[in-house]
Amino acid sequence: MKLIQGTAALLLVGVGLLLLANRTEPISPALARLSPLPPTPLDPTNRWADDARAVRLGHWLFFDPRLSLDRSVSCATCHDPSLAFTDGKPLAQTLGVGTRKTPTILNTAHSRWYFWDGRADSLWAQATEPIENPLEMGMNRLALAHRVYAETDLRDAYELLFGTLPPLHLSERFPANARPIPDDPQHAHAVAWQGMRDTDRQSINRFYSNLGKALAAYERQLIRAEAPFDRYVTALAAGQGDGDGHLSDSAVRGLALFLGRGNCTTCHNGPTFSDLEFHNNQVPTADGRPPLDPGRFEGARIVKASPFNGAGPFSDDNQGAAAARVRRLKTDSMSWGEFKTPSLRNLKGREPYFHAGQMADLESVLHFYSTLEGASGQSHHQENVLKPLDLSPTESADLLAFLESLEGRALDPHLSVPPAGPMHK
Amino acid sequence: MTDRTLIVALVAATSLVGCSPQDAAPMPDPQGVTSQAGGFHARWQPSVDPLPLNESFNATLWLSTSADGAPIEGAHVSVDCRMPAHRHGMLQEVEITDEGQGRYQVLGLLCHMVGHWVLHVDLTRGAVTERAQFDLIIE
Repeated sequence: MKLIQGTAALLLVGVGLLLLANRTEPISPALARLSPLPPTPLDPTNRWADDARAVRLGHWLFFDPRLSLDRSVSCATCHDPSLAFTDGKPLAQTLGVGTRKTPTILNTAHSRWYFWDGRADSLWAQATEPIENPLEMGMNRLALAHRVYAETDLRDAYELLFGTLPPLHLSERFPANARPIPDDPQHAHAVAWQGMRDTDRQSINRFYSNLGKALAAYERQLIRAEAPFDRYVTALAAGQGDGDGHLSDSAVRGLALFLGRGNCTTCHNGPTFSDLEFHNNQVPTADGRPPLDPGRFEGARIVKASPFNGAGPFSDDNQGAAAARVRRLKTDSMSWGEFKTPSLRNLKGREPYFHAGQMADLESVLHFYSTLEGASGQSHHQENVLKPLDLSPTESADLLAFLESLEGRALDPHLSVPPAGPMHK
Repeated sequence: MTDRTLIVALVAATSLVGCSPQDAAPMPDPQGVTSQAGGFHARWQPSVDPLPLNESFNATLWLSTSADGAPIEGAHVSVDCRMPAHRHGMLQEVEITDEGQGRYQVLGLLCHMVGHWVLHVDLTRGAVTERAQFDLIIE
């Protein structure tokens, strides 16, 4: 009897849905959480975030190799616009080889934390770090300040926006090379940094954070939204029961799997298809050995200690929501081995995938979630929600078709090449 | 019904399950709960309804010796949320302000995933810590 009642109820639901097909209806909560990508969130910690002059200077700086010590690499070396602003390599490789995959910066203004381990809490704070990383651009903030001071085009653009640079010609106060290195206080650059007056260190930090804020202003422009999936959801909301043909049949089946048995929205939830937080998904290591990367455990410690965090003196809103977020952040050993949930929008060109580029392509990613073959993380905390999905070849193909429907509209081409100069006209 | 229409209906049906009134996120029991050892009574009221997914919210907490007992003031109180099925909790710590007369403001609750969460209210008096807990569903 219960079976008959259940069947009848399902039929009624089905008939009801068909009757609704030609009416304007609110879309379901599960779909509404995924689409559309909302307007770029404000960043009150960066007062220049949406200043056209800062966008222009940041755009110029992003492609300018003078930000690296030997003038050989720029931000765009690793964040190559032709590769979805990644580098196509498993591990970042510029002046040295890093330990993690270069993440895309498409739609990155929608992030809550930056880097795979979230060791920065704003786009501007993130932008400062690769410049001084010896494996990336190898610069230090004093050498960079002297370079901007000496190069007329950079100095003019900087001072127009941020005001006069510190008196860098006073070599007794401003050494040629210096930066804070908390983990290596005996390093010559760290010693030089500690030898500076506190007020001079603050003025250099102000300069350095300002450059980060200009870079962030440009990166905030790199938004690719309005994917076929978004148009499909819009059509459903308008009462077009078939989504106006914006998704293939295979992609629609993939969506059902994504929302249903795949449990993908456990982590890939929200309009960026990421919960913006961190998980240990037992992703296999590249060499098959136990994982050694602490991920979020270390990232949380770093961001809380950073003078460039949202609660710090260089934040333009250090009593606001960003400050509360970093103040409240847990530094919990449970976060060992966790990495940020990547957005699933605009996956094309971002291979290889995962935090150390462990998977060559999306097929390999789906194979892992289908079988959990090679799962790592037998020590330390790990998520307790992963179960092998046991996907059929058709289901894998359907999921791939759905993921392909998340490619947003192309960027304005001018954003992918250097501008004519650093000054906004 | 074509295959495509059927799939669209299934997608919609999967999602619509979450819309039904009986499945809406339950608001806290206005009667509150008694701690596991019976030493105190807790009521709470979140700042938003329904409870948001992956967005910070605040709550007011009332603590008393029993459902109709005296307010508990100046207590050492800690609050956390955990997901039993995932073996993890919130990623941030709350900030608690004692407003007097058994009323406490809890700032910075954030449940970042869909599913069943448990709100823990731990009250320490002397050498004894007792817990009251509330079940939450985040959709």
